Amino acid sequence: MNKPADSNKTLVKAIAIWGLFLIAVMRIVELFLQTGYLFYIIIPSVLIFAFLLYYLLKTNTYLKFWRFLAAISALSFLNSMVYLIVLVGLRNNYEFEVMQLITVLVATGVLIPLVLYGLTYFIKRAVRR
Amino acid sequence: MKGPIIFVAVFFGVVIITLFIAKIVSLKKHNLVSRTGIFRVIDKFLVAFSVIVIVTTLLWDINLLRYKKPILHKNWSTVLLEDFRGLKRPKTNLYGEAKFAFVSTSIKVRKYQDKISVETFFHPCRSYVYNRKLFANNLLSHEMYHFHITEYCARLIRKEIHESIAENRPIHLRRIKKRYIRLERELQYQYDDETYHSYVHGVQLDWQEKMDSLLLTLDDYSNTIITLK
Repeated sequence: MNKPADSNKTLVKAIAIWGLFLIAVMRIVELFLQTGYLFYIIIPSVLIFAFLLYYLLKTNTYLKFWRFLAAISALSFLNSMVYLIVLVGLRNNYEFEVMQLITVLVATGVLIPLVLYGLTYFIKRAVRR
Repeated sequence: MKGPIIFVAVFFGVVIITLFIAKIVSLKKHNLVSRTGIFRVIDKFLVAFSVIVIVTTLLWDINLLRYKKPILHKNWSTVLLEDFRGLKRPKTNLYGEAKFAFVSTSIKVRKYQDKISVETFFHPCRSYVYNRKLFANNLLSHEMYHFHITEYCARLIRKEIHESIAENRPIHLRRIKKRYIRLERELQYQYDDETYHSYVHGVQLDWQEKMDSLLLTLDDYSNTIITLK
């Protein structure tokens, strides 16, 4: 079979590419469609979850729970760090709620994709039956 | 003019992505390309797209195309509307008004072995005015008083550091900075709120008078360098 095998190296590479793509999409969304919680929580969470589909198509492998958790944690952390750099470093936004915002972003960026992962898992099982 | 440009850019973007997907589907349909081949192309596309987008959108935070070094507060009188070189985000407006300005200022606190520097900066490539060639003293004045508010808080930081040194107390720089930056943000909001972004001329003059006096009372702390004994 001529397809990228599922390995840790492939996973790390995929996380790096998807992380870059996530940041780029969020930058576009921020410029043209900034709408509070939709921008900060829902769009990044859905994009982080979409990593599962990207990896599935790329390697034909449905990621196991712990590997998926590691991947979304890395993506969520990366995304939040970019927010932190942009808000504090570039925009001089010293409001101390920034740290709370980052914590919420990391948490929701992990929890929402996990819920979606759970739903997908049950749908997958139901379809197989 | 910006509307049609954005429309054309989005249109071409959608066309290019559609053609790209169609090409991949066609190649895959005729078994001319493997999954590895497809994803090699997709990955390259994602990386190139992301890098271009990130670099381009960075310009709305720091306009590197018209870069000018941050200006120290002591040179505030040299600042002109021409120095407001930043870009405005496409959808940003001020109460529905697209013609406005914003200023970006910051306080930098740095600790060296024998001194502490507390500097106030105006960032030209992060500040924006809708027309740089505008002759509008009132607008410039309003924006410069934002800069003075930042400097006032920087002087309060310097004052507290001086007092700590005099009383031989430990200097908690982070804590001090945090407290006065919070105060600065509150003052900036209050200033914009009360003057309605300079539209209420009388209140604007009151604020100017108030800030001038406050700066004068802290004139002893205008030196950005504090020597540690």
